[in-house]
Amino acid sequence: MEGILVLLPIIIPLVGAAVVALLKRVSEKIGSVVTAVFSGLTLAAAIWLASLFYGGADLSYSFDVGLPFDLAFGLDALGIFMGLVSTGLWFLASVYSIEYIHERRTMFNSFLLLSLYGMLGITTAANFYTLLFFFEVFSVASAVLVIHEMTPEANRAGFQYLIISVVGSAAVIFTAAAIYAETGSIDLLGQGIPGLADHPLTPLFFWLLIGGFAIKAGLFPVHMWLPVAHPIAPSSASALLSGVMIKAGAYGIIRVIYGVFGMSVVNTPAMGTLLMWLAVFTMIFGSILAIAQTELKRLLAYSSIAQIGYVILGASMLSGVGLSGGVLHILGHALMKGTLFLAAGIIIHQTGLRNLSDLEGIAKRLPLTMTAFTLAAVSMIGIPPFIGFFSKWYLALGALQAKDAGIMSQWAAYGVVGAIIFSGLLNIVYYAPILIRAWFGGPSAETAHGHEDSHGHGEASGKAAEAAGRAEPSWLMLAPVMVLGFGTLLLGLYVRVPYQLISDVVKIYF
Amino acid sequence: MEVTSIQPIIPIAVAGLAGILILVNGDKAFFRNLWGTAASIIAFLAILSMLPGVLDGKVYTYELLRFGGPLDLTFRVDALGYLFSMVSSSMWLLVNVYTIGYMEHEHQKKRFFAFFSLSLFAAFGIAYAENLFAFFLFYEALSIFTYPLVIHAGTKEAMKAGSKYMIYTLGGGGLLLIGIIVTYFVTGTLTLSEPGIFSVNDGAELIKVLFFMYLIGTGVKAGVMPLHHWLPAAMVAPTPVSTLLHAVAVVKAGAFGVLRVVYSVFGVDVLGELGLGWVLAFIGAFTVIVASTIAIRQDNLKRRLAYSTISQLSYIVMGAGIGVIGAVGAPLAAIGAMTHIANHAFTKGTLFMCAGIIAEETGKKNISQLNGIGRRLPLTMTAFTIGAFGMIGLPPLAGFATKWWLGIGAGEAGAPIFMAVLVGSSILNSIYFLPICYRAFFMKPDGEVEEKALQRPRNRPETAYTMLVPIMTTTVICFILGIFATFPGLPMSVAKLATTFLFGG
Repeated sequence: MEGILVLLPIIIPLVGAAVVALLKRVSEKIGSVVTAVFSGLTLAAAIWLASLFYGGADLSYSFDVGLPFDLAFGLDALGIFMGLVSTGLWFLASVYSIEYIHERRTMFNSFLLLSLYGMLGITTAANFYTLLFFFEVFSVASAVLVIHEMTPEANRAGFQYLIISVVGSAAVIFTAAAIYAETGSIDLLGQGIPGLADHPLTPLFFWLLIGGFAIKAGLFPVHMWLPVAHPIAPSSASALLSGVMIKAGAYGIIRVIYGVFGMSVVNTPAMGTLLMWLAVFTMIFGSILAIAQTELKRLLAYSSIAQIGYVILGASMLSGVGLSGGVLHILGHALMKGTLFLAAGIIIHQTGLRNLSDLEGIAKRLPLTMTAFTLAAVSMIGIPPFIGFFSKWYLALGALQAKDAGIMSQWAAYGVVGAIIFSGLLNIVYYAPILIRAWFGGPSAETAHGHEDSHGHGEASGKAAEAAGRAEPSWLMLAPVMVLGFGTLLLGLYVRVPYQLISDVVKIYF
Repeated sequence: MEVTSIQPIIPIAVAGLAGILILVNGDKAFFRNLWGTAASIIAFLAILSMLPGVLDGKVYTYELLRFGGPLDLTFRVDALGYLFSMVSSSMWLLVNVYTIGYMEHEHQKKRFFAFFSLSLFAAFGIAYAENLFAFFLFYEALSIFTYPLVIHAGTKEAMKAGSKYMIYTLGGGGLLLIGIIVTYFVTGTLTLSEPGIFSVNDGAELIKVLFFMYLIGTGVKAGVMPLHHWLPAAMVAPTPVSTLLHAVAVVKAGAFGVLRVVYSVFGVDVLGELGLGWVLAFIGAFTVIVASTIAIRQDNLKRRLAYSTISQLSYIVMGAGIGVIGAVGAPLAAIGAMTHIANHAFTKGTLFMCAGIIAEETGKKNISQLNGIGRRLPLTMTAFTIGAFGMIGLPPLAGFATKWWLGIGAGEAGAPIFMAVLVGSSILNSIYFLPICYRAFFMKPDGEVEEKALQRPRNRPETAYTMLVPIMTTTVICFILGIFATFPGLPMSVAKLATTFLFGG
């Protein structure tokens, strides 16, 4: 009867959401703390389930709902991994939110927990029926997080996000129904549903499903909502939206490729190869748009589009090593983008600055925050021994492996390797100027006037910034950022630890 | 004989730790100087302690961390890496003292000294990297840690130079990474402990493309033309930084990287068979001549020295290329190339430190202002002149020793054309160095005001001892390296050991 434990990480946040809603009358502040406690409990449950899973327990459970299919749950190595990453980041973000969120706390907190409920439901679902059930909850709950500020702009962004989400899930629903009608199965956790291999409509099904999940993931060309919605949400929600929520889409894509259709079916130019090139294009395109941004959070959102390209590239190149790179990047990007968005939140919260041009010398006022920010940005660029390097390493090796397996032509493989490195260089183009501004930058235009001619830039800025004083926030906000920032370095140094888990994920399909 | 030992870690750890400690409490001059000096001494002693073992044929290794697959941080002190680390650490010892004197009136000292140490950390890591991954890791670290030094002045010009520097080195790093990934896939290993990991069977076309990727990746730092533009631009940095960039860490790391790529990644046999030795030697020769020609036209002293560095570094590239011409290779040229890491470090180190003293004491930066400067700074200009003679390659100075070995190496490889290049380069060197010495000692200061300004100060030496002693020391070393070139324990003997291994006995 261990199987029923699989419901634990789903139930805890649901209960938490209810408790937080009830606490509204008592104290919203306590509600925030309770939210963090419940996310912590969920994290603990995820860790417990992981230890059970690696102890050999069969973690699956289903309810007979009187339909031809069950409301079925099941965890394999990929589900366990997704659970650990998302609950980990959720916990840190909710600790951060205690201090960060001032208005409409109860609304924010309960929907934060509801989104966690949806997210974990998706990664625990054993078939499409269960998945879709949680997909809708997830879409609505996260849309509320986007709307949080309730400015006309935020409302529009949230609404747009909601509509496009619904279109996405509609595509998934109809395709799942069609697949059920044709094959009698809606299994997600298998190795490909038999009967889809030689079905004439398979490419259509494939692209409808991929399209549905790609919307969630923010893959080109259905990414438009992402750079609007992510920056407008409160930063702790942005961190989750970019850090893990888009990974729900990537998770769906991995399951569609490997679980629903199976590798051998997807390995055609019209399916796998095309998806791979879309991912490569997304990777480059997101970065190029990021270069043009003038606002920090918008830049980070475009960067997320580029980064989700890595994950989907890993999934779609159909090689074991490549998949491990993609899955590793789920963790890596969660750490990096979590750090960056939370740090951007600290900058906004403590100084009110949002534009890149305002960040001159900001590191003198927020040295610890910017240290974490710097670690994450360097990891983004992909310099060893940060974790961002290793996903690129495995992705590039994966492309070469796919070439040897005959999945990719030689020039395609070298092209992919080149694109991965090129995209890292593009990251330098937009992250390095931020770091340079922050650490070495001069004062902003007004304060500079008097000094500019006589002294060097650096010195004048040092004085200006020091005059403004240190502005580090309390440890409630700082600690999550530091943990994540140093996590990019530590989990890079000890990358073999997450890689152990990931090699179990890869073993499912290879 | 491989020995597992903690010794290779010590210099790396000490330099890294000093950098962090200075960042933590480097606001006080006492601690800043204490950490920097202590680290440079400990690192030097740790490296010195390996000398008897290295001469004895021992190879010290230490595995620090495994990342999985071929990715691990393993350090391995072979003769070539040892040579580079020895040069860097002894220069660090001297430049550290010089810097303490020089930087007294500068701003941002904490940042400066911290990243100075961290650059050495990266340089030692590059020297001892056992595999290409570890090499790449420290290579990128070096690019990042030297950035704050390049932009030290904080002016618009410095920021621009910094951006240029970043684009060149990180771009080169990207190509290097592609090369490393494909290398691992083709050969299944990333080790640098063999005399070459490729074989001709891996595909001539592929090897040629990869070779150029590696060459661009490492050649950027070595300033090989046309990848050199960042180097003269980076001259806006304070003089100790220029010394560090030119003589100790950055360009030397590039030249060392080229040697590693040629001898440990591809190997003598493969490059010889594919005829890539000629290509490399010609690229080097081109840079030697063209950079010297450009140097003649520079009036800014540091810029002239910068172009001289570009030219001198390509001696190493050219020597590396000559070394792999033909099937059996030419070990003599390789010995010359490797030894030039040391010889150029001490010679160019002297020149840059002298340029720094000139700027600090008299504020003069252009060569046309140097008339009669020898009256004000007799010892400095003597050291400068000796350094210049070394660059030209006059016996018995260090520069002569390398030119000699490169020259007979070219003969050994059956490529006497490179002897002509060496001679041509010496002539060009004379053309741009000797006028400086002539101005300093034999020309009168311009006008009365100048004459007064250039009078010897009474009651005190011409400049602070912290700056004077280092240049005197490097000058003496230039003589030692020239006169006792083949003495055991000096760079050439270590280089010989390296070639014995890399050329297969």
